[in-house]
Amino acid sequence: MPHWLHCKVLPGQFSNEFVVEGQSASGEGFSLFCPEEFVEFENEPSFERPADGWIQVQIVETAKGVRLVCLPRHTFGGGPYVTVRADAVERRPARQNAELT
Amino acid sequence: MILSNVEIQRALDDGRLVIKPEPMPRRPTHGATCPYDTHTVDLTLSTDFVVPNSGPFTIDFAQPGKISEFIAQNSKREPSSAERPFVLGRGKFVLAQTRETVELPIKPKLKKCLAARIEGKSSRARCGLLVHFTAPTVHPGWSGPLTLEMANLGPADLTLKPGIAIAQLIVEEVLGIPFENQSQFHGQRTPSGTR
Repeated sequence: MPHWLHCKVLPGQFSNEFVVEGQSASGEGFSLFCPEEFVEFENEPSFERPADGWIQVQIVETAKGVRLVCLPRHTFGGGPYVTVRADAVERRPARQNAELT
Repeated sequence: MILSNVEIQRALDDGRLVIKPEPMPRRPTHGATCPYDTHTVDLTLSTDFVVPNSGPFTIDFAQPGKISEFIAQNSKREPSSAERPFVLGRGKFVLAQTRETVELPIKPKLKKCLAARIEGKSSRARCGLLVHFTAPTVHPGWSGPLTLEMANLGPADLTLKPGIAIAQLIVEEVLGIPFENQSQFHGQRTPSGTR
């Protein structure tokens, strides 16, 4: 069962990707372009209204209150690894995104 | 070690390399262009282009949390078709993707895996077309289409029709298995794959 990290989702450059923005445990922001199959959200995102969403991650290591996760793609200016707050990650099956209208 | 065309096809058969749709035909034949050269396989151009807006603005690499949004917001998608191909003007920069998705799965039991590099084609380069600069590497574990960072350095506008052979893939063997890697995501996609 995959793990999902809470994030903000915006449109990507290509139609098969999204911009994902998240926050590390230290409060620093990170962002990446991510293929759509690794991203979930409640409402279709736009630049005016970014969506609350989740990005699929792999847990690399867990420590007190934090988790080192591997993202599906590299962050801008960094690799695929980021330390996040443990409560920002949940474990559950994938679910369908809202249908495009 | 770089794979020959025969070894590339063997890797396709073994599932160590996945290219979808698979470039065909595998051997030279009448009436069709074989996408294989001695140690490369051609990839073709997809339909969507991303054109960055002209500034003036400044991209601040010290703000990594906002760069992706900024770049996406300051570019626009331009679909193309056989009837309406994309024209890349002189001195212009654009993003595109390969029609094929490339997958380099890591199978720990094999104790080695594959990496790849995307390179331009000399026929296109003679006209001034760059299909990538500084980012040719396809890492072990990668799965997806390849993004092309294209620029026209030539003297003429270039008409880019979807489906043309745009780049060539060189496949290499990597000794050993990388630590934690993104191939862990394989097989864990959403049921629909794409929406």
